[in-house]
Amino acid sequence: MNELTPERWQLVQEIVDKASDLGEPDRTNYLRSASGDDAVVFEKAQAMLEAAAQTDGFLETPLTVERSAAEETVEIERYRILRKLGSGGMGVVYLAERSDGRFDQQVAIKVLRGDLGGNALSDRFRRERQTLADLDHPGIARLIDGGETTAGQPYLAMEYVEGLPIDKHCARHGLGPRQRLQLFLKVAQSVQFAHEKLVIHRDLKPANILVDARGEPHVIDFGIALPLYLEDSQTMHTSAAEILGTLSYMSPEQCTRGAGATLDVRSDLYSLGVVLYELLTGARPSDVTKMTLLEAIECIARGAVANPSQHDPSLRGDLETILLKALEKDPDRRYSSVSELSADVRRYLSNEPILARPDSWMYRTRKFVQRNRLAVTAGLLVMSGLAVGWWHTNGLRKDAQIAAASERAQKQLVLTKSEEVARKSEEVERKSNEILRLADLVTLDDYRAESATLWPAWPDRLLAYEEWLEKADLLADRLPLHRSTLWRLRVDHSTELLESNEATRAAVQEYIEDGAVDSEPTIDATWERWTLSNTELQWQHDTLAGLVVSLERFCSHDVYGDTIASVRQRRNHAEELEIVMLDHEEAWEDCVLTVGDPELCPDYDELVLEPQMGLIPLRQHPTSGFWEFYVWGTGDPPELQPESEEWRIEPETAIVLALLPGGNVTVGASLDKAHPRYDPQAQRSYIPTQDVWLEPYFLSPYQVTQAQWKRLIGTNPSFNLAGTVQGDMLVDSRHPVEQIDRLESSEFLRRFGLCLPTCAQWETACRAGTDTPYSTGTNPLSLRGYANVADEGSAGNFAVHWQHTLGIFDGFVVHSPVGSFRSNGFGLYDMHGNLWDWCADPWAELIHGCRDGDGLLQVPPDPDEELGTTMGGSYTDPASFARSSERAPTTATTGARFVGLRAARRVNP
Amino acid sequence: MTDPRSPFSGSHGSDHGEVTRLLASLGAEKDDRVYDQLLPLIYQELHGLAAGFLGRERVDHTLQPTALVHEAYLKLSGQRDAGWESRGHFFAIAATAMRRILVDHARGQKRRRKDERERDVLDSDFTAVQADPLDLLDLDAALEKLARMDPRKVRVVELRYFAGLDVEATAASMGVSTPTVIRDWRMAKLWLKSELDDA
Repeated sequence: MNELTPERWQLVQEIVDKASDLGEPDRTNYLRSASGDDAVVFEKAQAMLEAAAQTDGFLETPLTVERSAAEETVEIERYRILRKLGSGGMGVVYLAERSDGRFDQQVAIKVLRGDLGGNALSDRFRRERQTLADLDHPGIARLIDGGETTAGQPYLAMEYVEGLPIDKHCARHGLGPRQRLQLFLKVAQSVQFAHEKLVIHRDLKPANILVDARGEPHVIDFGIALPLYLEDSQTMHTSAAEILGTLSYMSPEQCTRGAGATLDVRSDLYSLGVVLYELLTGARPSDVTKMTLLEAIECIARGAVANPSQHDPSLRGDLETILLKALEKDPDRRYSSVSELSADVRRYLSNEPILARPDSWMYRTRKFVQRNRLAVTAGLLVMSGLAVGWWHTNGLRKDAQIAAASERAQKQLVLTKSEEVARKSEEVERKSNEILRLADLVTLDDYRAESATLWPAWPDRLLAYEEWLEKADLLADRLPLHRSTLWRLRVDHSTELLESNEATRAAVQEYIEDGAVDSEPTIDATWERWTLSNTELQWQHDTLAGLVVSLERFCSHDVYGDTIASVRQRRNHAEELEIVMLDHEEAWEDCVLTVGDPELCPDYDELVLEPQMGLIPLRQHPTSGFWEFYVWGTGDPPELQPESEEWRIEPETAIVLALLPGGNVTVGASLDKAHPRYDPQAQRSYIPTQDVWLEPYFLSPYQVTQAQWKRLIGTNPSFNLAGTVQGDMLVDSRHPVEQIDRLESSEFLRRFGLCLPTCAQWETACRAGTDTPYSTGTNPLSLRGYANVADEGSAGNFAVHWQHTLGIFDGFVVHSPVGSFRSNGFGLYDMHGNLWDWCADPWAELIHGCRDGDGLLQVPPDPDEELGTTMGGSYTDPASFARSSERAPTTATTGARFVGLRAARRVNP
Repeated sequence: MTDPRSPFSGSHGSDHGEVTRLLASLGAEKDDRVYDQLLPLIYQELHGLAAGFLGRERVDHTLQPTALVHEAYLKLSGQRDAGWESRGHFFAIAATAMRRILVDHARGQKRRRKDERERDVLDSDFTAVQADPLDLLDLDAALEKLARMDPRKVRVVELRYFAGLDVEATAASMGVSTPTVIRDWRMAKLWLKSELDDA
């Protein structure tokens, strides 16, 4: 019997436990005597004790899950892939070498995930490529190349560094504090070098600082780090864990500003501060790894930094002062550059007094300047030295480039004070033009942000539209100026034009002198890239080119973006709507009278309805008795199906609303068999039932269609997209729109004066007066003919599904055109099934109660904003999920293929 | 009395009430039958969730199993804030389910390599990524062996390694003390290491 029985195993454990602390030869002796003559026990215990020497790290990192498609081979022209180095949120990194033998250096190739905004990246990459290629420094892994794989994914090729992350390196070699500081200084020097070239890293952390076998640090991924909060909300969900890992190193401004954050060198400086903090204390200033994303952001933005001396009392004094200055929440209170930080570290190492000290007077001045940034910008043009200092710290500093520009402007102006007054005043004027140009970038941003607030397009906004259009037009008028300045820069300084033929240069010259620069010059040659003679000019050129592109977009015919065309369209809509409302005065009069008449409309309880801006009355529904309307500007009024009382919903049809009565209603279900709302599947977080008083409200009988979304927003984000075939069935644009998150949904509705329904409103509408689990009865099978759910016919036809419901064949594998099934007692369609509907409420327990009026769930002071509520079930879920009171917690920032939306609106807002 | 073959009895129950009820009875009885009923439900849910998260035109994407398990719990139980007792039982089963999914997949991969034509029958489109350079199937075999003499340690490994829980959460989930988990974890690792080195 040589099997390891539970009894023997018990003995083995005891022996291993005791023997672990013994040295040789005691250990072997003990092993022998303790195991007696049981060879099985002896061998196993010995093997385990031997293994003990190598279990460091064994199974310590939990495994992660990955899509297997990553195993697909990657092919890149000119490169031979040697092996996979690793993978992360951004993509996969491979070790590769040139297949054409142009150089024998090995490179790390980062293939970016397809959904990471390839366009934004390639734009940015193209813009910064030259600058990045200029980052020729032994401490920086250079960007070598970039392009697209044969499969069309963007990739970047970088110098390959074989080494350990800096924290691991220090631990492995047992470096002391002074050695760590010296190593850090080398890193800081590399970063400073890049900053001088106007490149910021954005993602400095130990994993991006590799120390090679000779002990030299190399910063990798310079200037290519993507903001972690990408516009694509889909990535949010799964990258949360990853964001948390990196978040500790992010500056407060970086993690609070989110997508498109513009950062300057002081953000990198903060990250370096965290790295140094960690190298010296072994801890991070804020440990956020166990927090939720929102808590972590809050902690980094506002939480207190633990004094380094709490971890190691020997750090008290200068080192602590240095670290805390680098880690100030307010960028203005940090060192203003990495070189200042390094200088203080060096002073500390050579026992000189450091410079870091709280400077309250300066701090206050800077704050003042921030508050008065426009005045200061103007001041800069007339004042000299002092104004320069102000400019240096003012709030216009939109990003590193602009910050650097101001520094250059500063240098230029300081020069003015000393020599050659005439030449310099010219210089100053040139610089002032430059600054005005930059101010246009800020102005453009402001106007765009303002335009986003100018919804819905109702007549009361006409004045605001006129004012906005007037100033936006002024800004647009400067486009030709910017364009001609840009071309002058090119003809004077670009390698491309300087090397081109006389005729081309003459054409450009003529173009500039004409002053009529509504378009690009007509020249034979085209260049994708412009190379200017030095970095400063290159920067000027690129910034200006960026401004021209943004302004062109601002002035384009695109009516869906934050453009002049969009606001102009809104103004025209608002004007037209004023007339339309007058035209429908009679229809409204009829509607208002009927609604208020207790005999014609008993359910409305003599409601005094005012004509509702933007809504046009359609009819009083023949069976439900509720009035129906359509939202003007969202499409054509619906028409009745032949010989039927139901609307025909076509792609062109506008959003329809029904006016539902208010009153005292009950929300939720009960597990109590005696309760009228008895539902054996009632959710525990949604009992007991709540009584609430609802005002009358509008709710759409139909979910928003893909055609409506596309017509009004310009895109169709749906997964089961109109025009594609899903399980033998063609999806068309009358299908509901899906894969839209809660914010997108409410933003869409806001633009037309609509909103999301609350759970209470939704449930009341779905029940249509019933108490049973389904508005059709107590049995899920009663939904037959009323709902599109995961039925027998959809079994096995799509990837994401739970179990399907046996006994129902609804005829659809995915969602169905809105209104394909029978309506409920209120004349509303697809309340059960098709798609879950977004509701306005955050996810919380019903026990907190609902507020009177709209029935919005009252929640604890800080509800989990990341989690929203959806109701109604969907084609991916079994019938039991389509119960009237069933609520599903749904990540609010993620669009799912089974969640859509339905419009609601307040009455007499 | 419901007909056991009816579509609305136990076999169908991947819904909130069902799971909650099963979890509750599991807490009381530690009933193997309930456990066996829950495992396939959770297996399927995790499977679906992972496919959903990872399946959207992503070139490469990794995911923490802890996130998956939390999400599965949320969806299946419909409760965000249940105590650790009921959540703990769920996690214990989910960790087993996670191990099965990933091992099944690794097995499928191996089979596929033998016969490329079997590509189409591949059951899962996601796979485990490990920091340790060890074969998942070897690890699974070693765990099977360990389960025969000490199932509790296997549970610890599943929770720690396959579901990504820390020591405290593992202890809470299993209803044992933290020192027990620490000791079990250490012994299990030593044993596994010696087994894997042997193989």
